[in-house]
Amino acid sequence: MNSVCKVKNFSLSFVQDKKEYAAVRDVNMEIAPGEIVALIGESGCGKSVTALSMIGLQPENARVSGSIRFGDEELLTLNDREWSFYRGDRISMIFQEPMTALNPLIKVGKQIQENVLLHQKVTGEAAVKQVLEVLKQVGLPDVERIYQSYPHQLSGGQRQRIMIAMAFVNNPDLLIADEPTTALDVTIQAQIMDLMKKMNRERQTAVLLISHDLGVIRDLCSRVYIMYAGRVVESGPVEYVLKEPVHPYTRGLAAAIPSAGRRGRELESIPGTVEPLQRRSKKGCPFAGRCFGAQSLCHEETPHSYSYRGRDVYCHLSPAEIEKRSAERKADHE
Amino acid sequence: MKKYFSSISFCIGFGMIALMSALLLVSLVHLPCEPNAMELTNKLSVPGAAHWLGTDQFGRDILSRAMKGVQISFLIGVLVVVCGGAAGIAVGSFAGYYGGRVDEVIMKLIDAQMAFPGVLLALMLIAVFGNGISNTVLALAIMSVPRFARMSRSGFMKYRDADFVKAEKVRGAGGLRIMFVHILPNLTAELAATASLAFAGAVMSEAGLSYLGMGIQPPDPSLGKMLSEAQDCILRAAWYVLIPAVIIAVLVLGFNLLGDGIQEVNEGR
Amino acid sequence: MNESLVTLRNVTKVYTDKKRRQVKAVDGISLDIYRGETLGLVGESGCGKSTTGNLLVHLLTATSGSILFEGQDITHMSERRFGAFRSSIQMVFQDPYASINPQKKIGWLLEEPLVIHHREMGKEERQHMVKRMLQVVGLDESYKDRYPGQLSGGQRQRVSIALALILNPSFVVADEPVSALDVSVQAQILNLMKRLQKEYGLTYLFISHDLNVVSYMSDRIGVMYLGSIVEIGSQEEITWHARHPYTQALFSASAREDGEKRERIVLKGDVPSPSNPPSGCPFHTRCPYCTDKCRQEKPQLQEISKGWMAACHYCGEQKQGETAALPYDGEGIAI
Repeated sequence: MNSVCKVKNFSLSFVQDKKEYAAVRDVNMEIAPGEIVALIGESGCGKSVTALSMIGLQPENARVSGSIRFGDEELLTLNDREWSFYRGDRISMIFQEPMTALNPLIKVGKQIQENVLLHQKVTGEAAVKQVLEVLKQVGLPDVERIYQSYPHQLSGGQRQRIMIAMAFVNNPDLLIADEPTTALDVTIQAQIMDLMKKMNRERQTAVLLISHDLGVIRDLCSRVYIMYAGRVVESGPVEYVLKEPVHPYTRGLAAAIPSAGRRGRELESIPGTVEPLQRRSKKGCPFAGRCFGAQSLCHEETPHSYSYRGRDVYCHLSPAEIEKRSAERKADHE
Repeated sequence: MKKYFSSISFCIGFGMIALMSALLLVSLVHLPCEPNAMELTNKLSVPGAAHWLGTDQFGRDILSRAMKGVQISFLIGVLVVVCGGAAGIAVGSFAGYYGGRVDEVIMKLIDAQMAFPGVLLALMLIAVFGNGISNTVLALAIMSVPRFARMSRSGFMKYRDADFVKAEKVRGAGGLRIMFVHILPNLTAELAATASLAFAGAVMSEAGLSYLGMGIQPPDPSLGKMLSEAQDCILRAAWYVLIPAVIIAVLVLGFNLLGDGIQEVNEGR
Repeated sequence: MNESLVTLRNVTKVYTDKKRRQVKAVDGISLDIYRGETLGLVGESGCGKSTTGNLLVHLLTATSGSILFEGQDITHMSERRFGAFRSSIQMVFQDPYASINPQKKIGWLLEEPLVIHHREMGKEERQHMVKRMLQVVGLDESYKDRYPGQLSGGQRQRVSIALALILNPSFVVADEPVSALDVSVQAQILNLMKRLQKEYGLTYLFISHDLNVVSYMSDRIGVMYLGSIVEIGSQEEITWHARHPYTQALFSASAREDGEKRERIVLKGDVPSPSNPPSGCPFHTRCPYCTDKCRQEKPQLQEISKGWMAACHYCGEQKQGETAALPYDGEGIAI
């Protein structure tokens, strides 16, 4: 596959009080040009630090290994000066809370213009023109007025549009969006998701979307990676993985989501909670402790992946065995 | 508690106060000599086997007097912190928790008191009501009220709208219960820092007052008084001046560093 | 079922904001909450749903209107007189980290409401109730000696529920009780709340912005917009057959049982500020069918069928099914 970004055996651990805690282990991921890929997982699964590492913003006490290739370049070995060539230009990022990502004292238009001037050899006037154009493209009205506004004068939805405009202005090859709609209201979320889709289509930018909203992911993404406690457990096309999940964790996750259709039935829940970083076992499958099908092997050895109907599953059990044990558990339950 | 030792100021302050506390404890068990006993034949003797730190111009044992002085400094410090703290917290907690008019009136009074120089106030009180430990404590406690009031006001304001306070209200907890059973324990660290700084202030002010001849009256030893007495014979007995001076410095610096250290760690969280 | 436990009549809550403007957080809402049901309250931030919850548990006092609990007017009761109702009306908060005092042990916290409300109870009896309550919410006895800091988010929310239920209330206001939790833990808490409702005959007011959660939990749903209820009806009516354009847009994104999606309706523009609400219908600035009448006249709730009401001038005229074919131009993501 021709890819924009290829993550190979990527691991990341935090060093704290001279001890190392593995937050991400052996993650493999690939993003093709122009595609929208989702990265799903619960808090503490390592999805955000993985994404931050792809733009070189991992925390200072993080130790990384493996490789993240962007085109022909290895990103993990870049220094700060080299990073400035990629960041905000070929790779950009949108955060959950737009207010904290914007400088409150500088007009938003100016902030986007600076980003243009930093990476393109154009005159100030040409940059302004580009900014106005991108502001129009992200659906902001009265772009001249918006250009002159300060972040606090805009609504949450407008600020997120500004962030999107800033992220797209240099036509990046890859956009990393870390829960871009979580802080927004439902009707505004719908607007922003539509916008992301439109920008992706018009500018052919690949997007890595980090989210826990499966509805949004179904609408937007073509492929999905599911992470649990630092490892990818299942990956593949959205319509397969979310409709007919195989891995016990994905199955549990999909079955745990409440909806009108599930009324009157008890939700299936995964017992227990995600183990905090300090208490995670180094060996075995990360999900073994909460899995209905866990056997002694699961606690001992990390499973390799196998392909099954278009997706990769990291599990010691075959799909048939998982199905059988899940049915047994349900029968027990009733 | 452990986390505070990551602060250097806390460690140094803690060490200094541990040293002073040790001195205090020893003094409570055993004083080398009677601190007010004069040996008129043995004035201003140099440190030696009989008197480890020598004697003063009346032939009294300096070590014993210094140890007694430390006792009095601690006594005054503790009383001032307890009385000033209780009053300050009481006032500040109501102002912070209830806000509005109550807050406005209380804070205006506190501001008015702060605008008045503290030492002047203490001198005035002592001039009116007379010398002695209790009046000194009263004066210094009043001086320390604003410090506690401001700290607890801001603390109570911070927690006034906290979710757990709302939850307590829903469960029927009354105002006093919420204030003193629920919010106050959450302010322990801030209180400890304030108390430590107030303690240092009290020791310092007491020494100042005694130096000026107010406060603790002779022949009772007080570090400030010792300093002023030693000043008269500074040329003949330099070590005599050094002893109360160093002890005051260590006490004040120690409590200040301790308080700063606690604040540092709290704010760093 | 049709006995009203809580009744709100024309309840209004007005704040004065920093610029000394009057802000109507809740603007004359009337509703009934029936014994044993779950009434869901949905809406976007600033729509007044949390304010409504706070009014019901007496954390706020209504500016006008009346709130009845079991037929008694509790609107302006003094805190002392309301004390008797405290054990009947309880609340579960959103943030399990902020809503539990970190300085106290779980057992101490659980015992406290009993100390306040049941003075006659002995230490032993209280301890017994604490242990039983922990079991009820699925935590073992040893948790009573732990501090909140040693618990995970889900465990803390179980403690919050135990704290709300230890006084044996009949009515519980749940303000976004699962919004701060991860999906797998969220399911545990929702199941627990459902089970407890059945066991203790609880009545819930379930406030949330998550439409899937509300549709799953509620028997009836009220939709709020800028301080007013714009539509209220059974879960079925609101989720699938909504008449108000705002409700239609909100629920257009939720999945049907078979996983098939409806056309997502994307509303234009932002929610207006409650301090400067639009004239006429509060929704007219974003409504795809806005007419002159909507700009001038505020629609009242009108009955569509028994128990189903919507505040739209045209809700009587629409037929079902028309809504999905609404003119939505894909380009129209304008502000």
